[in-house]
Formats: sequence, structure tokens, C-alpha cells
Amino acid sequence: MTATHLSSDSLDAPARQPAGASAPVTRTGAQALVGTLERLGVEHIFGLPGGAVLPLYDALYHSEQIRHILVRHEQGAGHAAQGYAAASGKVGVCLATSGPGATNLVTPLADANMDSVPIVAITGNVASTAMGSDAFQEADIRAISMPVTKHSFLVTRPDEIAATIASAFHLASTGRPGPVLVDVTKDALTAAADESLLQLPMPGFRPPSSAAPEAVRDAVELMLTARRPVLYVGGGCVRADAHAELRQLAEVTGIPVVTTLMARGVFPDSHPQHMGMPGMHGSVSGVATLQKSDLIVSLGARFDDRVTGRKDTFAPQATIVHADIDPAEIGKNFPTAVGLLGDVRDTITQLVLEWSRRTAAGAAPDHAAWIRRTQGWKRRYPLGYDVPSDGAMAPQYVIERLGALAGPDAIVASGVGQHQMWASQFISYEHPRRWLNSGGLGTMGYAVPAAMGAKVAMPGSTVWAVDGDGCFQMTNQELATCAVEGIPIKVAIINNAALGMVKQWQALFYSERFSASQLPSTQIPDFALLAQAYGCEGLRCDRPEDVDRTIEAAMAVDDRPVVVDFRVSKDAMVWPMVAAGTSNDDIQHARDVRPDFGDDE
Amino acid sequence: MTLLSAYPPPPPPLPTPPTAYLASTPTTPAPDATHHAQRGTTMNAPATRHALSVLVENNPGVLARVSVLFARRNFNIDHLVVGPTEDSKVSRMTIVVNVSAEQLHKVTNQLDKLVEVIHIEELPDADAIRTQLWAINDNGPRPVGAMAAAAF
Repeated sequence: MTATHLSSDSLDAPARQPAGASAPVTRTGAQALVGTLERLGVEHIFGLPGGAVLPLYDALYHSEQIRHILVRHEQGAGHAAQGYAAASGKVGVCLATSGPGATNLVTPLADANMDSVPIVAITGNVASTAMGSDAFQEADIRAISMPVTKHSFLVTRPDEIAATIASAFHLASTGRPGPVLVDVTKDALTAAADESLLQLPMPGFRPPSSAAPEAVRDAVELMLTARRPVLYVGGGCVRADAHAELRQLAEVTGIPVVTTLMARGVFPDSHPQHMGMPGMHGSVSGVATLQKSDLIVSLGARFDDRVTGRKDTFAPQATIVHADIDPAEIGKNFPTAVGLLGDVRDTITQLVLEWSRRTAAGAAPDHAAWIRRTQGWKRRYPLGYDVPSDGAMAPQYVIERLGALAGPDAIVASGVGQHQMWASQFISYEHPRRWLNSGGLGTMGYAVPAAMGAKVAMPGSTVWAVDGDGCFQMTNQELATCAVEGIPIKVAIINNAALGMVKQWQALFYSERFSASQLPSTQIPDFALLAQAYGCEGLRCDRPEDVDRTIEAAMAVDDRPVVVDFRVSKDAMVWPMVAAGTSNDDIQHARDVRPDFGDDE
Repeated sequence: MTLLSAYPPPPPPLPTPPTAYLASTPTTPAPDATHHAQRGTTMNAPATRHALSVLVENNPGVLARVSVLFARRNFNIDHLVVGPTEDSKVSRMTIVVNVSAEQLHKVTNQLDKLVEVIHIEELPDADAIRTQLWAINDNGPRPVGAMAAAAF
């Protein structure tokens, strides 16, 4: 219960005033807030001003360290902060005014909460004296955001602003990352602030410990004795920057690896031990390796329903070892034999050490038959697609070529739906933090703003947004931001004139009754013209032989954003597929084609 | 904090609990070869009453945060009492829920993640609140309004 206090006359206190200032200058709450952001090393903020945050924007006006990027919609600010955080590993910051500005941030907050993205959202609120009076643009965003954030603060006293902002950054980035909201009232922003309190006490927040040595021993014992083990790698390994350690663990043990949608790239796709992605639209080898295993070593994954399929038939013979930084995840969906609580990077290092110790002492695991079997699945059931019968372009071909031409260093942000699944399947990811998508919440419209945030964080990288025609129309206003602020992202619209995934489900499960799932996106809007109206380069491509040339033309543009309208087949479907609510055993490699997994040992 | 035990009241005649609150005999299947038939954690195990004593930071909005969490997991709170502790920065919540042990474990894990929750323990006697309110009833001012409704 000790707060960190620094008295203003202490000799040890870091200089708060410019050198040479003799008397302490009292700043306003808004200035203290901006000063704290600068002290924390914030360089970019995505935001949109309004009445309640005017004092804050006035203080930002003078900041030389912080670049404010004016978005066109607060949702764009939130997703941009997510893309910024996911691509760089730093905390993303977004800023909005009270009322509607704050409520527009709810979707990105929920998205960041599901995908464990460290962002801090700062919102203004009406003066504390007006709160509860249904004042103009008043919304109780602290309460609204409660179920969808890691934590949310309401600051009504100027003296607490600096400490709360610092604590928000600490909360967002420590332990399991997540979104933190700080709502500051307007009177707190304008009043004089005492900045001596540097951190809130937060006695209930306990940073995670590292995995217990005996649990690591048990886990390695299970890995040694298992006949059919698999490393089930999730997004936690990306957030923890555990790619090098993960590769070491995989190579030293020889155990097959599957990477979930959130973890694409953390283990190189080209690696022979990589069995692909498990889940509803995972590869046959990825699903089968998980389903037929007798030991699942989960590293920063959470046994989402899209991965497990019907729970009571998931991996019936498997024992589960679960490494996670969040104690509530261990045992949440499946009973766990061994829980490894702690940072996954640290845990993997311990696993490697213990494995090396055991094998040096003579332990000899026998996984050869299992590895042969998994490699057999990978050979027999590669990902593929049919050339559409109507002569149109295959969307998979467009995405495959895009991945090949953009190269493994390009960052790909995707929306949600068919194009997201194809982008996860047909682009080969070799490095972490190159694949950004909305996995947990499934937010259509994520791609364009997230690509914008990623490009701001990594200006030297090529950033592609692979988007659908439905998704693109939800947040394309941020193209204006990109054009005005000089953020040259590239957008590939996979335009099948439909809400493709909805249409696919209607085709498969609702007798092809395409209720409200078809869009006139080949006529309205004209995406190329729309892009030009936003000050971007607008291209169109509707023949397979033009795909490479169009992508190269888009890659050649570097001074403004590019939008390419790829008009693709309306009937393409995502395969393989485990239909919702069915068992992973019932995976279809293509429509009504069930793979043969061979007999269990 | 042991005010009530300073006046040991005669054990009050407890009202007969509604049948839903009766602890049913656990029907867990024997851990034999059939245990693979049931995969995944279930949400329909037999429910019993559990009382949690939760120390929280005494901030505005903390009650909403705790109750939102229970609501999000679709749990109904049977009883809820919030009161001060000897530390003015800390409040104690006593929460009685009617859930299975496994669900309780999960909700406690989620509760523990809340930044404002400092400490959680399960009280040995789930009827603690009712008993104590009975004691107040016999020895002091009668519970009124919602408090009385919660007790009976």
C-alpha cells in the first residue's frame, strides 16, 4: 500500500522543468498528461478532438516529441493504435473526446481485449461537476468499457492524472497485455496539477511470476514419454517475442508445431516441422496433428472454440500442458495436467534447459513414427484451391501472388472473413509481427486503420491491407488520414461482391438462400475512383494475367496510399473447413471431401 | 471485526432453505476408461452455495466492476454485502453465489484478475451472511428493506 511519492524539492527528483528554471512551474492537468506521455516515450497518438479534450489538444500543440495523427473516425484511431502496438510491440495510444467519441472506441477496446493488444485509450469527459446530469456529450465510458478492457480509470482530480497515465501504461504492457482506458474530466484537465505521485498503488495488481521448476520438470517428463506430442503455439508467443526461443524448443525436441491464426509467423511457415494452422479453416495437417496427438503443449494459446471444434470430441487422447501468463486461462476450457504460469518466453527457455538436461542424462523420446505420420498428412493434404468455373480470378491466387511479390518482410493486415482466412493460408509468414488481424472479436473494418498504425510504427516496411469489399467499406475513411498524413499503405480489396463468409455459410448450411449477403461492389462504389477521391492511387484488376503487373505497379508507388480493386470469383469458398459445432475429426479438405487420417497406433 | 461473536446468540432457527439450495450429492463419474467421453470443462455440474469474501480497493465503481464480471459469466448473485474494513482504502465484499465448484474456480480466477481486487477467500460457511443477519435480528436493530429480503 505504498505509493511512490517524490517531493518536489527532493534533490533526487528528475528534472521536471526545463533546465535553468528556478521556481517549480505548476502545470495544468492537460500539460501534466502530455508531459507524462513524453516521459513514457510516446511518439505517436491517433485521435480526434472534441469539446471535452480541448485542453489536452491545446497542450499537445506544443509537444515536439509526440506526433498526433488526426483520424477521421475514433474507431480508426483505436484500430490504428492496435496495429501500431501489434507491429512494434510498443503500447499504442488513442485519444477521443467524451460521449460519442468515447463510445466509438468501444469496438477497438473489445478487439484489443480479445487479442491481448497493449493499448491505452485516453478520453475526455464532461466536468466532474456536470457528471450525472446528462450533460452534452456525456457518457459513462468507464462503466461502458468495464467488460471489454483490462482496466478502466476515471480521473476527476488533476493530481492523479500523471500517476494514472503511468499506471495505465504499466497495466497495458505488463502481464497479459490488454487495453486500458483513462477517462479524464475536463475540469481536471484545466486545473493546476501536482505531479508528485508517479504511480498508483494498485495493491491488487500482481505481475506474473515465472513457471514453477517442478511444473517445468513435469511438463518435460510428459514431453519425453508422450508418443504423439504437438506444440500448440498461440498469439502469446508473438506478444512475448518468444520466436527465437520457440524455434529452439521445436528444433531441440523435434516435436511438430501448429501455429494458430494469432500466431502466424512466430514459427516460420517454411520450417519442415511446421504443420500449419489448426482450427475451423486450418490445414488438414494442422488440425489432424492437434486432433490425433496424445500430448498438447499449449504455448500462449487459449483453446478457442474455432480451434477445438466441438469440445467433447477435441483431441480425445491428449493430455494438456498449458503455458500461459494469465492464470485464468489455465484450465478454462479443458482440464490441464500441468500448468506453466508465467511469461511464455521465459517458460520456453526453462523447457529447453530441462529438456537438454534430461536428454543429456540419457532420456530418449520416441516420436519418430508420429513425426512420419504428421509429415505424411502434410504431403497428402496440402492447401489448394480450384480455378473458378466461371472464368473469374481465384481470390486465393491473388493473395498467393501478393504474398510472393511483397516478400516475407512485408506486414499484412487483414479484415475479417474469407479474405482473412485466405491471407492466413496462402501467404507464407516467416517472421513474427508481420501478420495483423482481428482474431478473437472478428472486427470487420480492422484492416485499413490497423495497416495505417503499423505503417506509422514501421515506416521502413511495406504494409499491405488485405481487405474484403464488405470490410473495406466500414473504415475506408482512414484513407484520407493516410493520404493527408503521408502514410503510404497499400490496400488489396478482394472484391467478390459479397459478404463472402456469410455467403459461404448460407451456401453450405442455409440452402443457398443468400439473405442480405450480396453487395453491388462491382458497381457501387467504384473503389478505384473512391481511392482517387481520397488522394490515393486507385487500380483495378480483373484478369489473372494482370495480377502480377498490378501488384508491381502498386509496389512502385511510394508517395501515397494505393488501393487495388481485385475483382474475383463470387463463388470461391474457404477450404478446408470444420463446420461450426462439429468435431475436428469431420474436417472437409474440400467440399464433401473428408481426408483419411489413417489408423491410430 | 468480531463484534457479532462477542454476543453469542442462541443458534437461530434457520428457515428451511428452498430446495434449489440443498447440496445435492455429487454425481461425478468414476475416473475410469470412460473419462475420455467427457472432454472440455462443463457448465452444468451440480450447483452449490459458495460464499466469497473479497477485499477490494474502496473506489467508486468497484461494485459495478465486480457485478459486471459475474453478469458477464452469466452467474446470478444470491447475496451481496459490501462494507468498510479497518483500512479506509479497502472494502470487503461478501458474495454468495449458487454455482458448481468448477464454475466458482473460474469466476474466482477472473475476479482475481481485476486490478481493484486485492484478496479473495471462500468462507467455510455459505450461510454466513444469513446467520449473521439473524444474529443482528435477535440482538440489535432489525434488518429492514432489501437487507431483510436478502436474509430470508
